[in-house]
Amino acid sequence: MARRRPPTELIVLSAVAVAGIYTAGYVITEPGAIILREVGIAPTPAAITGELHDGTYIAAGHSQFGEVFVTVAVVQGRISQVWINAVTTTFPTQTISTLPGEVVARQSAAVDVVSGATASSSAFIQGIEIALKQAQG
Amino acid sequence: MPAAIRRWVRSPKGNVVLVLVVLAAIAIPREGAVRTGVQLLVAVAISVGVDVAISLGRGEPPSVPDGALISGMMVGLIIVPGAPLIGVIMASALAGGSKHILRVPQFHLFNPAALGLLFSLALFPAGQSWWGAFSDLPAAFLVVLLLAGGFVAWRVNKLAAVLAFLGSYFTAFTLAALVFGGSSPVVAAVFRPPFLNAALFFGLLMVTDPATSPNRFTDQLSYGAIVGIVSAGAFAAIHGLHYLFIGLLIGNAWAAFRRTVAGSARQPVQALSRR
Repeated sequence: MARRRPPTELIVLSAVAVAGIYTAGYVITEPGAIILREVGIAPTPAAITGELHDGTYIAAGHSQFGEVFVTVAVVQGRISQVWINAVTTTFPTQTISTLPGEVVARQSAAVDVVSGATASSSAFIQGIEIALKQAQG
Repeated sequence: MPAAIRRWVRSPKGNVVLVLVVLAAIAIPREGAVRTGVQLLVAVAISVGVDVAISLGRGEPPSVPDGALISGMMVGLIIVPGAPLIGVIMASALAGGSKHILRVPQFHLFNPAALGLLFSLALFPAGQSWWGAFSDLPAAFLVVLLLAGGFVAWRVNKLAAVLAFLGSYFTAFTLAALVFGGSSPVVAAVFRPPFLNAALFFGLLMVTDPATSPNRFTDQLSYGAIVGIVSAGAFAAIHGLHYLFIGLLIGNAWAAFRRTVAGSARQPVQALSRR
């Protein structure tokens, strides 16, 4: 039994209305998009003040869009390796794949926020900070 | 091509499979053929395998497991490529098995892919990238997604549900931007890739699942609006990426209520009833 389809004119008008609502939202949120693209919303991490104890530390950082799970390895009081275990944000892991190397190079969670993936960068930094606090513990 | 295959390809389910294959074929070169191919194959094999095993175990007559095929493909196209396989396996297994468990005699209650993704990703953080929605490709590819998904929505006669979902979803976030100011990067992200890709893929290909969505025009409007508003509410209330699935499962529950308790169950069940 064929079901009756709604009138084409109604569908087209509704689609135009939805497109209008979307466009209005897009335009209104452009200031937020500029922040999203360029400024970044990552917190400024605190400097490492205490001694780091050797070991492997796992932590997760949170953002509005999900979590970034990290592992930090400390050898002889220095950050020797950092891994991203899993990312539950929409941004794929490869978007922030350069950040672990930066943490090792700088021996700090103060890394550059990746443009366009500020939420994931922020969650990564938060995860590193938590892991480093564990290492100081 | 044998007549049976030709008939299947022309059926609504066949159309959905073809559209998903086209989306995957376009996105795979950008994401890497090996890891996306393995992920898709695992997701489809697990979903279909669980579905067939349960069907055989219950002594049901053999049928083409195209519903499980669609669910598996959706899981594979949404989970981030290279994610831990345990997340892919769990989501696919739940997708393939849930429709046999969470059901009333006539139909299953929840969209299998959404259910599998929601629960497995909550337990095994594997991440969603919606790569099959071209989230890593230039924004121009959204036109392809709109055309392909729009074709599916038209084919299954669910355009009203799609428009109600997108209308309520974007209205909620536009109002939020008006009330709280447009400078929130979180709200801005909703209107732009990759969140826009996710919403379109979800609206055109998951909200339209005939087995778990209503048929009547007015019910489609209510259902789409519920999914959109609940999704937006979940986005605001629960940090993370599960908001769309939460909205859809609530909408599915409402649709099931309408079809059973409220008496819409007398409507004919379509051929596309096992997705």
